Amino acid sequence: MEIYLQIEKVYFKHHFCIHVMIAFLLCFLSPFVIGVENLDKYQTAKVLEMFFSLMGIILLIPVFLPDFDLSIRELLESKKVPLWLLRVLRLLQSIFILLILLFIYLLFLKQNQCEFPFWSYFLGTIADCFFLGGMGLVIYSITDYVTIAYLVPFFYFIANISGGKYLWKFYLFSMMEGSFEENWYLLTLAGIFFFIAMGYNVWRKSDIFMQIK
Amino acid sequence: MGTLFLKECKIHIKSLLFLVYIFLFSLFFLTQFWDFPVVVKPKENANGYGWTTSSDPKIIMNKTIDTLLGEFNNNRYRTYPIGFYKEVKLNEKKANQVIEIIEEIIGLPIEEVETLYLDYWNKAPKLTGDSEFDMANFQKYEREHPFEMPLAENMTYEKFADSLMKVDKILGGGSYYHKDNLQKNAYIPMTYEQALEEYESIIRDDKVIGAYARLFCDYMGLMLGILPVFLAVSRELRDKKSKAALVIYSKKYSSLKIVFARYSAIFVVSLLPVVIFAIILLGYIGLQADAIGVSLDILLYFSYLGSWLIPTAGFTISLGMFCSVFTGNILGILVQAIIWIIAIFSGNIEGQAGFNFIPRFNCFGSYSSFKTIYESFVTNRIFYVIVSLVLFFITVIVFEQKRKGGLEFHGNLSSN
Repeated sequence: MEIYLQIEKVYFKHHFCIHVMIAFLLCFLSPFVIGVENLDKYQTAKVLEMFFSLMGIILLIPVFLPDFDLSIRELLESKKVPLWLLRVLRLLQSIFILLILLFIYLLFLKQNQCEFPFWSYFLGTIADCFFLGGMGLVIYSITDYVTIAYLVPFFYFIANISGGKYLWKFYLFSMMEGSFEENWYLLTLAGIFFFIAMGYNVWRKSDIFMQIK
Repeated sequence: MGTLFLKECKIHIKSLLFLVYIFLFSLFFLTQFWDFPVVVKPKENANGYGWTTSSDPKIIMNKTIDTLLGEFNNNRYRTYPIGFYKEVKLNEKKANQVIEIIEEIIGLPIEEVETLYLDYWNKAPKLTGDSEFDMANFQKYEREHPFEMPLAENMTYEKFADSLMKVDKILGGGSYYHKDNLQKNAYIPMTYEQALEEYESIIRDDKVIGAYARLFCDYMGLMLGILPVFLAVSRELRDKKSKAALVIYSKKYSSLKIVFARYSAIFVVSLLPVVIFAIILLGYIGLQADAIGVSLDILLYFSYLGSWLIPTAGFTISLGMFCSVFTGNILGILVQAIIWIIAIFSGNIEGQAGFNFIPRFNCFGSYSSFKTIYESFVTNRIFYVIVSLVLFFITVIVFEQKRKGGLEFHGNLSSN
């Protein structure tokens, strides 16, 4: 248990804290730039889906950044704690901080007399965040290109602004239109993304994969 | 130095990131420009000709009241307090203050005002779902029954503007009720004569090609404001991953030459899709110009593209390179993404420069409107060229320091 706590501490201190700071700073500055007072449920959904969902990109994609360096990755692969477990632990920390940040932000919105169903919006926003972050993670795990891992989810977010009708059930801004159905699809696909991202490195080196290749 | 530049270009062109870059750029171009605007002479007695703004004080006052009552009823007010779009919703106390101002302007109790307002809008044509038909129908209704609200006795335009400034203050500033913004509310349907003048202006002042160039630059600016940063950051991370820094640092080339070669390679490569799409669009414009009997002014076209897009791309690349050289990580992407989002959601997309690094002009033609913002547009572009150059030289200094073994942070910023 101690070693896992140590892993979490090192990840936060040396890699993750700057991303956490940026996420908190953006949320702190948001009232000065976007309206967050006296919003009805549709306006609140707009703030969460068009602003907060980007926290998924900021907080989840850094999971793979510590072993960006190939020699560090090889060194980590030689250790007792498997690399996939390291990444899962980092992912859990990222998810935990994302959940805390969202909870605080929703409480802040409630304090500002915004009217919305708290837990539905909590889950809906988490679905958006996980989807965008998961997309970045799976792209990173397959291509090993950190810039593409940020580029594609960001472009997907932009595509939702102008071409949402082409994205079927994977539309990010459905809560703004009063629908939660799409969030279940997003959450399911996010789960698949996480699974592939965490497992890809293991499968890539496995005997079965080598045989298929 | 030429060899260095070519090597840098090859590195980018052969990378997977560049492929993704081209793909996303192409996708954006095709989806946004699928329906290219067509230059057509307006026909007399058509159902509608588009919109324009009026400078008639009476029309401004009536249309502003129309906007205010609409926003008051929905309790949703559009504002730009610090240049960024912010939707304001008022609590009961502030809403009551707005009611007092409305009653002061019109000279009637709010209930009667509401009755008159709803009476007008209940008679307006209902939406059928066909946007073109609905727009034409609505324009016809506006022409035949312009919105008019009685005003209080002795209510002059100056008193009216002063009262609306109080509303602007309640909303936190930057609203359409600020005295400098009142004319923006005065949208009226264009008449045939105005539409004909607009058409002739596209041919006379814009030479057809100018109108297309501005719209193209408006869209391409959106992508050049963000996508090149990925190329810039990726270049630095590539060195880090392959541990090439020490080898590069030991080379005979000066830091200025190395950074300049990288910068110019990213610059050329990132503008490559823009040039290709510009040439494709030129073919289409040529057909339009031929049909009207106007010759193409290629110099005007590329002058627009160069002066509009180069500062945007230059700033994006400079900022991305500076952040990635300084920190050695992906911070440049996050910083640029934040700046881009703020730029996109701020201001008026139909004619605005200010200090936005992505100037907007999302309308076809409207040469007279472009003339009104031309000066601020030129100032804006010069400003961003200077900022890009400053960032470039700071990047060279940082690179040189790192080469000498300085700026080594043993901790968070130097790692990922």
